[in-house]
Amino acid sequence: MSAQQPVAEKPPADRPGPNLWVLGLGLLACAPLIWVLANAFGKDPRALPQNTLGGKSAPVWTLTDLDGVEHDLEALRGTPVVLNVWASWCRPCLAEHPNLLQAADRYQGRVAFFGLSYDEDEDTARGWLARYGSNYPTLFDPGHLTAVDYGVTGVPETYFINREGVVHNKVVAPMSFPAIVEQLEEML
Amino acid sequence: MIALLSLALAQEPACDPPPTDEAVEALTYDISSGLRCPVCQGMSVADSSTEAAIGMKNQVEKLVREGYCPEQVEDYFIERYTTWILLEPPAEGSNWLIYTAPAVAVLLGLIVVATRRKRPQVPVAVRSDSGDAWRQKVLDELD
Repeated sequence: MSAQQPVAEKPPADRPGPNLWVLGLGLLACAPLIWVLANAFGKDPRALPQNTLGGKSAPVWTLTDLDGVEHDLEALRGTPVVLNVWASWCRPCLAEHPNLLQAADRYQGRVAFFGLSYDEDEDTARGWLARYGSNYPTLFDPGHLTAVDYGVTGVPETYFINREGVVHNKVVAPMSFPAIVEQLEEML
Repeated sequence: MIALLSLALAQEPACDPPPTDEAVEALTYDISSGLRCPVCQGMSVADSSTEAAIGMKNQVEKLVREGYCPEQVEDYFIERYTTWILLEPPAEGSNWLIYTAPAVAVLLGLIVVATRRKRPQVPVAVRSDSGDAWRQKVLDELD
């Protein structure tokens, strides 16, 4: 038995026009988001800002070293300064330390080297230096205020400050001896 | 000339320091909540207990106590860490797209919907003769 149902006629085929409109508007709406996402995917989310203080006056500090001697950056104007931020728990700092000692030895009297301890307490930093040696003063930074003033994001970081007290460069990585020399020769 | 560039905090504090320690603490927490912890994954300085975050919180508190306004404190951190330090990207440059694109997408969607609703509906034609024939056949069978 073939039941006869009312037959609905198909509407005229006028789809292509409106669909292209929708597609076009959809692409237009999505394009900025796609662009932003594509742009963001090209970046390393863990990449930290580099040398933001380059070319600017170095934040001034007056800090006491682990031997109780006070040091003032302003008083060092006329002498290039190397400020190395480190911590006793930082393995790359340990790898870098001999290179800094060697550089400090070579540029003795021409460049002022300082360590800036990122440790919580002075005794830990003293113990580390007693074990691995030191030929330049290490400053203690209560509350890490000076480190933040320099835009420190972690350790090790090394700041090169020229004779005029301007930040020449900041290196966010353990430095080799040739790399330290290269930075110093640029400043001298 | 480069040496003459000065840091943001060469400015004088533009706000009155909060009157109580509780107010200082609250404002410090508020500002720190908008700063990204540099050694964490998507965590604010306020919520992190790392050395880096502690240092930043200390600095925020120091600046607040000295009477620096929240915007000045934010500028201080941007100067040192760029806008990367802000958990919420500022609405400037290409960042505008992030804020405006959803609204634009919704607007375009509404335009599409409105356009399609306005289009005259094509009437669905029903062949009445075929319906009548079927009805007649049913009636015949009932008889």
